[in-house]
Amino acid sequence: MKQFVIILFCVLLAGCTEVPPSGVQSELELGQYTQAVDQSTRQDTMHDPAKLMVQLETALASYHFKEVVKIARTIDQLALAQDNPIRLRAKSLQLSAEAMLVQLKQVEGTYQIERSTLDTGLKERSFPATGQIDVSFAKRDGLVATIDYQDFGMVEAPRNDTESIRFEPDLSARLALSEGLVSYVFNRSGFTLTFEGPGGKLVYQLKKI
Amino acid sequence: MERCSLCGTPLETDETACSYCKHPVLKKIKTLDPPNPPSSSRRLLSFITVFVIGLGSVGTWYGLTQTESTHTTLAPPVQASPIADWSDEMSAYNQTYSSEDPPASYDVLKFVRQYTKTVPETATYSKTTDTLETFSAIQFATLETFHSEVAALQTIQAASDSPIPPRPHTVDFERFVSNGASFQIKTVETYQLTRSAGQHLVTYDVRYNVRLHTDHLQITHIVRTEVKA
Repeated sequence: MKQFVIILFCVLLAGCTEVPPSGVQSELELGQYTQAVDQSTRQDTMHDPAKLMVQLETALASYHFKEVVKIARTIDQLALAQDNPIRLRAKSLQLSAEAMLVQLKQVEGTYQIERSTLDTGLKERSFPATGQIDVSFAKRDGLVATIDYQDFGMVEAPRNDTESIRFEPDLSARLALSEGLVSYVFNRSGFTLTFEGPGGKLVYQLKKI
Repeated sequence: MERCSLCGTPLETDETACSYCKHPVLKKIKTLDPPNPPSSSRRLLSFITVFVIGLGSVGTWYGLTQTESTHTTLAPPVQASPIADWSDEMSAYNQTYSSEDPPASYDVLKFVRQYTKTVPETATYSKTTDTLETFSAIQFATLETFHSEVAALQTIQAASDSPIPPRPHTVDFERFVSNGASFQIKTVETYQLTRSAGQHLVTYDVRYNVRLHTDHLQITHIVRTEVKA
């Protein structure tokens, strides 16, 4: 009986022994997933989730949104608590990437000129313009768009070429020219293409058809 | 039958003293021992006790050592991460860090991605005419790294004076590891050059070493290799 009580007491003591908090855990809380991978071994429960988070962030930094969604779904399948910070962060980035993909899908299509203006700084006037623009985004490099000009621009000098433009996540792009700047902006009302140069500002407002 | 403890004479049931030697009869306090439980029940009882206490101990240990709470069964509502969190809306160069507020791994990736935007400008550097401080890249990297980049960017340099200057096209992060205080990042970078013949892409395999220098990130080493088409 005495021995039994001693054993029970030992079991209780063992149960109450405090294990020092893992360094990996603090790295994860600070979003330092690479360090968490570096400091953990394969046997650590958080090693694989941290490694997947590194892959997810790497895909996000490359703007590979489909890959982000795929990795986030893999993280969601892991045996992590519902409120685990890695699961929540992955989910949050997944939602953001999915929203981005929806937005990219929405702005893809053919646009025609609705309004064209020339602002010389002294006065603003509309000018006759023609043609269409076809926009499509790359499958892997989500923000790289192919812009196909179809008899587009000033009536006397329309362009028929294709260019590849890298957009920012806010769906705008600004490209420097030797004398000026071109900006591309997608917004709710359509697509605005602006050429700024020494002669003034040429603005094409386009509407999706 | 009981006997006298002194002389051994047999005693009657209610006698208070021995009939022969008069030695007082001390009544034994009769304690009725509870019937012993069968040994199998005792074992079962012990097992249940050990199991319950063991389970409680394991539960206590788990609760103390695990910081993530498992008591929440419902997933909290998750909001989509704002674009500003992962895009280049905010300059990564201006970010400062400390031991209490170290850079997150994504901060390092953002830092490198923003550095790539300075590459076409770096290619225009001329030792004879330019002041080093005016180049954005010098804010991200060490002086040696800047010079190694100038030397490695010959293809971009050749196209720098075209009407449409070279520009970053894609930056694919291939590998990202931490080694204590520094980070190693491998990228495949494509820059777009516009020539009279049209648009042309130049691709580089790049390896970066990044460290936390005092309170900001700094690229300490770059190995840039042009990928021949």
